[in-house]
Amino acid sequence: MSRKAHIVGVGESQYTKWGKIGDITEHALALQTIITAITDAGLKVSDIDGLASFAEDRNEGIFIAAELGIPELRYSNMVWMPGGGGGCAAVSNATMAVETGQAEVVVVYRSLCQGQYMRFGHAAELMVNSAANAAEPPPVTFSQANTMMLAAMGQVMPFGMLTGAAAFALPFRRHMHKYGSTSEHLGKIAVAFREHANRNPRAVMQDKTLTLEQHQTSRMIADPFRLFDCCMENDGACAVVITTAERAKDLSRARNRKMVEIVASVQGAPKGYSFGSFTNANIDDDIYATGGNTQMADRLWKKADMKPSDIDVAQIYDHFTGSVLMQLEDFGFCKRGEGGDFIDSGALSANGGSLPTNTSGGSLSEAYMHGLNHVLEGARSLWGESCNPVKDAKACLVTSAAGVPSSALLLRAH
Amino acid sequence: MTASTTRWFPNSMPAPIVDHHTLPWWQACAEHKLTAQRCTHCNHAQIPPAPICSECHGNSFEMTELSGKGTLYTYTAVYQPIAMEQTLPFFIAIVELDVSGTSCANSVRLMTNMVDCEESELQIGKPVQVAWESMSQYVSIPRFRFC
Repeated sequence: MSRKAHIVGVGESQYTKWGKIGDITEHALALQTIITAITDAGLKVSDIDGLASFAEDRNEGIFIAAELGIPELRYSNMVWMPGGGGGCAAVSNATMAVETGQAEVVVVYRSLCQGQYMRFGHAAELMVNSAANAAEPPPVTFSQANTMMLAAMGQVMPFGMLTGAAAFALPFRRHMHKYGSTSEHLGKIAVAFREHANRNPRAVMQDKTLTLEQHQTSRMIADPFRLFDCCMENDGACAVVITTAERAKDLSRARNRKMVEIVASVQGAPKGYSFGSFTNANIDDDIYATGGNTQMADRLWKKADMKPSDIDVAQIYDHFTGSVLMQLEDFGFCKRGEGGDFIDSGALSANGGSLPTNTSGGSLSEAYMHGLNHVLEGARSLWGESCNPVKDAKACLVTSAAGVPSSALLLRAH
Repeated sequence: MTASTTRWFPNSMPAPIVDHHTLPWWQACAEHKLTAQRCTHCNHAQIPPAPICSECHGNSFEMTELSGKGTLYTYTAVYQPIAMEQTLPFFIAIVELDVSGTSCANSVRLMTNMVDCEESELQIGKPVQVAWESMSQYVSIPRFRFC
């Protein structure tokens, strides 16, 4: 199929710690990074006719297109909901646009300088400060929700539910109760990804090593998640270029790269999930202590006519270590409840593991770009351009988030 | 209204943000009544209240008062303050609410807080009961404690 979607270029800015990107705006980084990615593909900015993003990106496609001087914008969209669940879904949207002929070259991008905007999870801090500064604190009363998201959050915020750490600790605590998974399992995930980051010059944590003991003694954030179970908050941007097989053939040859096909992509949420474990206490009991991705994973494998044992390398969304463990079960790399044993086997290491995972360091140790950097690393791992190369890797799974509506991709090199 | 004055959380905690459908639930809370929205057609119970029943798509409801008893479904001890002068850690919990003695067809869970306990006492499956905290004359929050 000559219009089958392929990844032909990737690009990112420097990734830095929160607020440390320096004298450049998130908006400017988005533009710069799109240009970097299109150049990496061997294309020109004037070849772009589609833009896709996710997570309520502040850098809206219509403005980005105008500022880049794109001759004609033929496709632009944004995946629902905040957070990282939509990273692979944005790639999926680009894939659909390319394969149905709505566009030829779609760039998926995400620019995220949280240091320039309200820090995630710190909404309460702002409210608290404004209350403290008021001459007379107002009485505690209701305020009106103007969006469905605010109505959902407004139901749980009075109980202090404001951070991802607390939201995703709840299902993992139940996983521990049901299956006996432990904090040490989580520590081994954090250490494996950090070792990958230590070999990645793009990684924010390249120079910081991490031992299991450091993990086990790090401060508690939301039990059972300690500091090193939580992803970072960063400044940076990244972008991926999607086009047809026909164009990808010449572009790949020119770059001496294998073609990276988007074999299948899926998006989804289980019944009644809404904003997942952030706001929903009534997720079905058989789904609650999972990453919520089981049905979607089954659909992905079926669509691609592939199975977990076909995968050479995986990029699994890691906002929290516990979500990695539960996704390994969701996607069928091990049975439900056996994620801990799978991790104990050393599977995740690029240094001889059976499923080298997050070979860039992921959100825990490379950068928190709402998971779009996982897609870049997926392509690199199949091009043989990863800092933690997996020999002869031909198939890669990329996932976007757990515990909230999510999405995933299967990539294959040929 | 019960004249309870016990306080566990400061006034600077986020207040409920409500819409047309959730306001009646919070208004019942202000009277220290823990309720579920029950579909009068199929008896499906839901919290928070929504415009339609997710099971039969009916839109006729009654706010059914529950016993305030339940069991601990899951929890986390949070060590990051989200409000001024807050005692740490505080406990976010999900409680499976008892609907026996009502017409509700299903049990329903609530995101809440555990209070009056140590972290080491938190244990999934243990029975709990509601403990009301009046934040103001308008807002009362249903926390839970072990029975």
